[in-house]
Amino acid sequence: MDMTVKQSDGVTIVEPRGRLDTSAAPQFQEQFEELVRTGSRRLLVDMHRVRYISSFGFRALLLASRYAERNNGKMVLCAIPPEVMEVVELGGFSEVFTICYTREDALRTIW
Amino acid sequence: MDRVEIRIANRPDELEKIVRLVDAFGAAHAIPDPISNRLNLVLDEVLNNIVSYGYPDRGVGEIRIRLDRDATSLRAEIEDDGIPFDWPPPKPLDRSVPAGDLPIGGAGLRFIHGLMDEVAYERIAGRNRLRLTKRIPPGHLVES
Repeated sequence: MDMTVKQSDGVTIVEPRGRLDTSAAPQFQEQFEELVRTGSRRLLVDMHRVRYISSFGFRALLLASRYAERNNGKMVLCAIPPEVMEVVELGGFSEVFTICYTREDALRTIW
Repeated sequence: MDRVEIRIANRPDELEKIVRLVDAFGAAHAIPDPISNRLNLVLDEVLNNIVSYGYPDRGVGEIRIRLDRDATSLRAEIEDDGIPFDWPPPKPLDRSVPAGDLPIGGAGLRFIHGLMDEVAYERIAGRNRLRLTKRIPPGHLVES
């Protein structure tokens, strides 16, 4: 998994790419928590380049979200590809995360 | 090649081999990517569970994975010599728990039972054997 991070008008946009699986999950979580530790409070995870996610990937997202909340922050997911969204719903995660269809929707929702 | 088998050690670094095997098997048999991806996801859950919890004494073990397909379905059989585990159907989500407090556990079982059409478990001669079947939709059937 690769991950790009950029700042846009007070929002940290995180864009993981590839597989968010057992081996990538700790790396994602560590990088995400580092962003929170260094001051990011509104974190948008754009999922449109994630082609695969396992329960370990969801665990990392869930822990990342809770870490942000404990630090008075907020995490929003957006642009989840249909084949990944199927798994989100199957796992019961669509009620756990704040999910937006597009990055534009997410940028409005995160405030 | 309608059937392929691989044996791996019970170590996390072995699991990447299975992803490559499923991708190659899928490509060789014109299996639609979404179906290969679902099988990969389910095998990821199963094998990580076996590697993480199947050998509590940290002993060396062997896991055998066999893939095969016919005209209408893709099947995987996973056999290991770890402690018994019968892959029960998942419990329904507890809607009384606030979404943010939901435990993460159980998601793997929801994926396995939700993404496969059949899940069958046997304990035979001290080994776990799990059989997974995914039917290939009629629009994607390929010649045997």
